[in-house]
Amino acid sequence: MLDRVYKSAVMLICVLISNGFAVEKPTSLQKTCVTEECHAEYGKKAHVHGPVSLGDCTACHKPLIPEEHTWQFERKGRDLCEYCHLEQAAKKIVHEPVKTGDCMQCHDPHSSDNKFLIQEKTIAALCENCHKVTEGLSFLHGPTAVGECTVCHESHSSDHAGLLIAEQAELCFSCHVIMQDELKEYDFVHEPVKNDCIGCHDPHGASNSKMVKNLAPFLCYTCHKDIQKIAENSMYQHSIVGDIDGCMHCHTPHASTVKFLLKKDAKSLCLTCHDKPQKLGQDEVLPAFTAELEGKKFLHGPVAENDCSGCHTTHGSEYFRLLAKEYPSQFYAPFRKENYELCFGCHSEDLVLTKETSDLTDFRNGDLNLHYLHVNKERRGRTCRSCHATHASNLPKHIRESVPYGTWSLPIGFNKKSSGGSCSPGCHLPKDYDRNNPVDYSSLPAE
Amino acid sequence: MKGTNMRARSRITTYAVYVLVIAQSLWCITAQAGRHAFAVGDKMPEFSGTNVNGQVFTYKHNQGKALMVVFLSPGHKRSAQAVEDVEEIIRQLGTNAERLQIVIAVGDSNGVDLSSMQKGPAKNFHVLRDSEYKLWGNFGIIAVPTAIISDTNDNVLCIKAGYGYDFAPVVRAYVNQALGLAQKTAPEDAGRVKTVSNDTIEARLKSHLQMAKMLEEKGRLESAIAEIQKARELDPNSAEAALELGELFCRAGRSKAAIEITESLRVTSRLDKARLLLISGWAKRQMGELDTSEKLLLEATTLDPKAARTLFELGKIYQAKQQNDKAMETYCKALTLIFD
Repeated sequence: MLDRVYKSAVMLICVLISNGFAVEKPTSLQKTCVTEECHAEYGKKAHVHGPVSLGDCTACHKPLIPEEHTWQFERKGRDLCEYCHLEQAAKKIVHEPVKTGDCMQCHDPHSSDNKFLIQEKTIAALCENCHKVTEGLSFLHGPTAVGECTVCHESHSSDHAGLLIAEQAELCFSCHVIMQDELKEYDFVHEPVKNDCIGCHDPHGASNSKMVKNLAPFLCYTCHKDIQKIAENSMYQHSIVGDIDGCMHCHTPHASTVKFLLKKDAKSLCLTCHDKPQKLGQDEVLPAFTAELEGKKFLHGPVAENDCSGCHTTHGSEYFRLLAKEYPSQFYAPFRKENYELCFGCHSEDLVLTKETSDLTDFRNGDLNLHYLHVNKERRGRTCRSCHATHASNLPKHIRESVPYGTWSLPIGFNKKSSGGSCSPGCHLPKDYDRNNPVDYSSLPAE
Repeated sequence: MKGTNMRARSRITTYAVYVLVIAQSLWCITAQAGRHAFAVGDKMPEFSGTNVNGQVFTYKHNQGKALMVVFLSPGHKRSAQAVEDVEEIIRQLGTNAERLQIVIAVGDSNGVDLSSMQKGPAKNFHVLRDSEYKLWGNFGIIAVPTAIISDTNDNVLCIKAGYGYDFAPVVRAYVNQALGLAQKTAPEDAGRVKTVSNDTIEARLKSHLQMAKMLEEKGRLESAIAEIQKARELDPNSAEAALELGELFCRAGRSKAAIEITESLRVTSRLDKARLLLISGWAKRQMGELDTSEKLLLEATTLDPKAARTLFELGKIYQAKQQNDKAMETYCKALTLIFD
């Protein structure tokens, strides 16, 4: 009992003391609220809201019951701020807090130690309260890294999606000026580079270097589904295509002076790997391509033009050696037009279909087309490789120097003359041909 | 004596035979080369052929017109791609295309769509049917597409055989050369591959400078300074980066740092010298050295009379020196530069 009396006495004393020290709220309207006694902290920070610094609290607050020191806002919702800050929500896309009139989510209405009266020390810290766009990312975009979101974004409203300060490409080029200048010089520009940088790059940051959203080939496959299909489903696959960043071995992502956004001429690109033998499977080794060309005087057209893609597809193929189209893999093959689609992609099929011609080819005896004679046969037609080296040789028309016969190499003995030539291969007896004075073969013994 | 004459006659006869043999062989080589093949620098062969409307087209020398002959095969993918490229090249030529004779030689004109080319600006456009390969033989064509371009003197400038990655740039460059149109790349370099290299030091430096400018506009001076410092790490010799940094230091009130920049920098161009003087003058004014500052800024205005900031700083000095009329006049000049 005594204890209870004691406790009550202490409480009574405390209440009396605290009442003695407390500032009494005014019960009538005052000239200003920011005084030494009341709300002094509003005026003491580095940045003070205009009305507060003027002591004009009624710009935003109006008394409800002055005797009870109760107040209400002068205007409702976003009208409160927009009454003075007219243009903030004027554009098409409005930031959600602005739209809902929740300006205080970002700004302190009275004062702040931070510029623009923002609630956090930096813009980035402020934005991060809602937009956690950089969490766990290893590579950050410059403005994100320095916490300057407003380099790209408007805070209140914008005419551009994502509250961007300008249209996407225009915005990126406002810093990446050299890229924009350089692009004007290029005829072959990757489509997204023109207006959709964020097609490949994450504008805030990414886990990959250069802020790419994913690594090649996966990133590339998001648009180039046709290539993905070829690369993954072809019977003959080009191993490098599926490698991480494999696409970048040959292609440049932004712009090139040549088609297909190649980084170098096609042959140089191929030679980055095919300058040395490549293992194809368990037992097969593809010889170094450079060895085939070394010191050779006569090159096959596409090789001479540095364009291996004249015959080979780079991403994958249904034909051996990644050939672009059908071509017999043997030395002899019954002639069918469809089997030579590869060669007929550049050379006229009439070269093999026409028995007599005066203009189509130089390989003729009078008007007798010797290509027709060699290739166009029901049985044991010679394929092109029987006489021509595929890539290069030291004989005109890249005629091969010998033909394989089992383990032997039989010399062809081709000799070009002014109006024809002669051959003495292992395949048949030595024969001449002459375009102007045809050789009479009837006197030769039958083979 | 008689014997000597006989020997001389015999020698003359032998030489004559040699000459005849050499001449004969030379004639054969020339005839062979002329009949089936020609090279860059040779004359374009004269030819004629029937176009798809049955009219005869004849190309003869000395007409003063550039010529592009393209051999195509209907149904070939590469021929179709070449047509697309040639169309684009002609479209880009605009009215210049009227000075170019364009001959498309095809065995069968049904397989290649040339309609848009015929509607295009090129009035001298001829599709010749070469079903018997006469033109093919005359030009020594081996593969299609093959484009041959000659200039107004009928000299062959380019033989582009096959359709590859560089067909369009090479053909475009030689067509431009044939028409005498100015171009940035020499035709022989047109097939050389160049790519955009936005990760060069120059490109990265420019990006940092540009971002610094944006940050500066937003009043984020310290962030802007940090950006410029990144730029300077990439290229410590960049005068542009150093000058930008000097100005930013002044703007941020870090006059000592600004002076350090000016002391370590050597510039050569007139405008850069003016900027350097502005930074020194601006920093000196902040340090209270009004006379030195005035001198530096006056020198800066002589080098670059259009720099509003220099005049503004000069105005501030006059204002500080209580020379209000001069200050007003200088501010007015600065404003005029900004608003005019």
